[in-house]
Amino acid sequence: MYEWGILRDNADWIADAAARGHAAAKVEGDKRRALAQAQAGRLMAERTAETRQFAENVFTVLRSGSI
Amino acid sequence: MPALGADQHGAVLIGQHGFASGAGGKAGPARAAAAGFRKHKAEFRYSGIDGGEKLRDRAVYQEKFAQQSDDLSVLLPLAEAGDKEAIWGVYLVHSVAHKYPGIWDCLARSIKAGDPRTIVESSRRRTRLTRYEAWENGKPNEWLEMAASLGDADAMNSMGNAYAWYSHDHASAHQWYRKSHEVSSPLAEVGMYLYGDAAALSYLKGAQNHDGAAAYRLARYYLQGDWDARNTAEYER
Repeated sequence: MYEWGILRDNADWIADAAARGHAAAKVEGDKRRALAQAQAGRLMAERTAETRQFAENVFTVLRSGSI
Repeated sequence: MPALGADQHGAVLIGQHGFASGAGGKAGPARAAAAGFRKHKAEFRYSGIDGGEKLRDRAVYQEKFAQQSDDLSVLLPLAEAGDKEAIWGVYLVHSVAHKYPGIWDCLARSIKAGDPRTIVESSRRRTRLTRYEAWENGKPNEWLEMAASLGDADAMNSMGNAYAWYSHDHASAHQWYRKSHEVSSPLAEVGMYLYGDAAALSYLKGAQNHDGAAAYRLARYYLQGDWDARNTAEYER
C-alpha cells in the first residue's frame, strides 16, 4: 500500500499505511505534512507582502494628490 | 466622615487626616485596598485593555514559531540525508523567517542536489541584490540565463530586457519576449507590442479562445514569419 501510494503520489494511501504501522509511511506522511505547512507559510508571507505593496502604492497615489 | 477603605473600584479613599492612606503604614482595610487595586491593574494588563493585544500577538507568534520548529524537526534530518523535497521545505521555513545564512545554505545545498526550482529561486533572490547586473562580461547574467532556460517566465522577460537595453540585439530580445509570452507572462506583452508583434498577440488570444483560424495563422506566423498573414490568406483562397 505504501509503495503504491508513493508510485501514484497518493497521500491517502500513505496515511492509511502509516495508520497500519508502516514506519516509512509515517516518515513520508510527516514530511508531506511539514512541507505543506511550509508551503502554506510561504504563500501567506507572499500574500502579505503583496498586500503591503498594494497599500503602499495606494498611499503613494493618494499622497501625490493626483486623485 | 468617610470610612477608611476602598470603594468598589478599588480606589483608595481619603482618611481623616486628608492624605491617601496608602502613603503611611498600611493596616487592615488600607492594605486590602492597595492589594485590590494592584489586582485590578493586573487584570487590566492581561484582559486586553492595555498591552493585551501585544500579548495575544506574542502568543500567536509563539504558536507559529512552535509550528515552524516542529516542521523543521521533521524536515532537518531528512534534509541532512540529502532529500531534495526536505531541503526545499527547510528553505521555505527559513525564507518565511528571513533567516539569511540559512536561506543561502539551503539554496546552495539544493542546487548541489540538482533541484531546478532552486535555480529559479536563487536567480530571483540575486535579482533583488544591489550588486545584481543583468548584463555581465558581454552576456546576460548567468543566473538569469539558467532560470530562463528552465522556463521561468519572469526570467525570460528579463532576458528580453537585457538584450534590448544592453546589447541592442533586438532579434534576440523579441525572441525572449515571445517565449515569455508563450508561458503566459503578462509582463512580456509590453515587449511584444514594442516590437510590433500585436498580430501574433491577437492570434494567440484567438487560439486560446478556441478560434481554429487564429491558431492556424499563429502556426504559419511562427513557422514562416508570416506576421501579416498575407501568404496565409493566399493559401486559404
